[in-house]
Amino acid sequence: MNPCSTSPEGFSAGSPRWLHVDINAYFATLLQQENPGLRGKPIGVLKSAGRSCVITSSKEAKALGVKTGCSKAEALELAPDMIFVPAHFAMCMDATKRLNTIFRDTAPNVEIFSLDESFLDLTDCWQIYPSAFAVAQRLQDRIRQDLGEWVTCNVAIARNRFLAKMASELAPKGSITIVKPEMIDDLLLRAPFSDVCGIGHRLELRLRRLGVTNTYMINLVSDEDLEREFGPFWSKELRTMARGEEPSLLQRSGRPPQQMKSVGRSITGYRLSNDENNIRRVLYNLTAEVMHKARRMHLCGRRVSVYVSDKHGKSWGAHKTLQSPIRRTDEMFDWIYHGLYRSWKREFPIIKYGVTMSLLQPWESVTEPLWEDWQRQEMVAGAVDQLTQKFGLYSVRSGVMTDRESLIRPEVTGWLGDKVYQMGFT
Amino acid sequence: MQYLTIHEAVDVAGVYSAGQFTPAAFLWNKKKWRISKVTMRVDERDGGVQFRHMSVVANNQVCRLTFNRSTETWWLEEVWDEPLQHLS
Repeated sequence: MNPCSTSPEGFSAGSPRWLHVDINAYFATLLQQENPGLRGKPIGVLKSAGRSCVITSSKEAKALGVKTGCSKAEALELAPDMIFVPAHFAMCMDATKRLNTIFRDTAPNVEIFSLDESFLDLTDCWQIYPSAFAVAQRLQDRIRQDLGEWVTCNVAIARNRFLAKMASELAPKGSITIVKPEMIDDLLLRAPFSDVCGIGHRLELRLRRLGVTNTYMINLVSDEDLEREFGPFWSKELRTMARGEEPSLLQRSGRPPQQMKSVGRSITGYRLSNDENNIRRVLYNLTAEVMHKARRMHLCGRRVSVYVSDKHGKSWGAHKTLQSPIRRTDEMFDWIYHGLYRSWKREFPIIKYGVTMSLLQPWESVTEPLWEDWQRQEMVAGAVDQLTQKFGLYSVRSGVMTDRESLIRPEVTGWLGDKVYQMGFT
Repeated sequence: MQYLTIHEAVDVAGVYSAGQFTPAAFLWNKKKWRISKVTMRVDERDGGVQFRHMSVVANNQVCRLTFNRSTETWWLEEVWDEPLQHLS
């Protein structure tokens, strides 16, 4: 039996109702909307031309078994007619902002969960709309009008975000689902762990070892067994989810956005590199992007980290917690490159690079050094900020990054981990 | 099949209606490309520089046009290398 209803249903005053919207195969659908020749065809989205990893795919490709993260060769085995198209990050970010406008026109409280998923709190909307179904239909119509006729989304409404998201994941593409109370147990029984927000791959493996194959079955495990296997935190979380209640991950997403705790950037190069100049340039470029974001948010950080790896799983990383916070690219790069990276005897050629600044705090909370040298360098950094604000990122850049063609520019991720920055500062 | 990079300045003619500009045709390679459909509009901002990307179907090909709002210039950035009728 399908635990979801597609029949109209009215609101009742004060009953909390969460609406979850999920745009189907977001990156690929937008590319198909843009190019009618790609519609209805299996397409694989690459990070950029010349890449071999499929970062996402169209619903047609997914139906043929193509999975995110597979290689082009693997995808072609499953879908020989597959067309590969580079992602258009600006398109995705702009579409997310337009979606957000639609959502805020629909309900007063909107939570952006990821680039293509949001929750709308309909608790106080019962006077505005005739039924929950009507809200969902209105949303789907507006999205088609604003983003294009090919863009479809799943909409699910339930008593909380956990159930709404789960129902949305399970439903057919482009559908509207209303989860009624009597259907919740069936929903928990049917949903594979991959569709349950809060249960990741490792947790799934541990649950399967206990013989638990769906969320409802957690109810059959005793409290003692659950705590022995998963510890005090996860045993409570799992018990909560088994009752169809929200895990803490979703409760946290409902809180007002806080200051970012860390800013990081990683990239996988096109090929393995042993060239010290190239490695230095990439690390500098990533550092410059991290510091650009941090400075726009007026944040400084006290911990810097660097990470590199090859393509066979060999990796190296290091971090340093500083006595006082830093807020300039040259300061951070000095620690990243000279303080950390150079202490490593490069044991393998590098393909993946990552840098992070964490333990962030607002500029206002830190006393600025009085050293004349620091003040002078800060003035230069401030001038570069102003030029960047006017002429764009990397319009003024270090000599390390002179080659315009090889500049690494910011990207958005599906998870939108930097939503505080993306929605507030771009 | 792929997008071919062009990155050439083009002249664009269009219509302003309800505060929105809709391109109708552009001149490229001394040839007039009549736009039959705008399939996507994307606003992008890099500092104070604002771009409006428009994906259009012109002469049965999908073209990516970009309008630099600071310099008020249009660029034909990319063209999908397969005419639409061959794909559908």
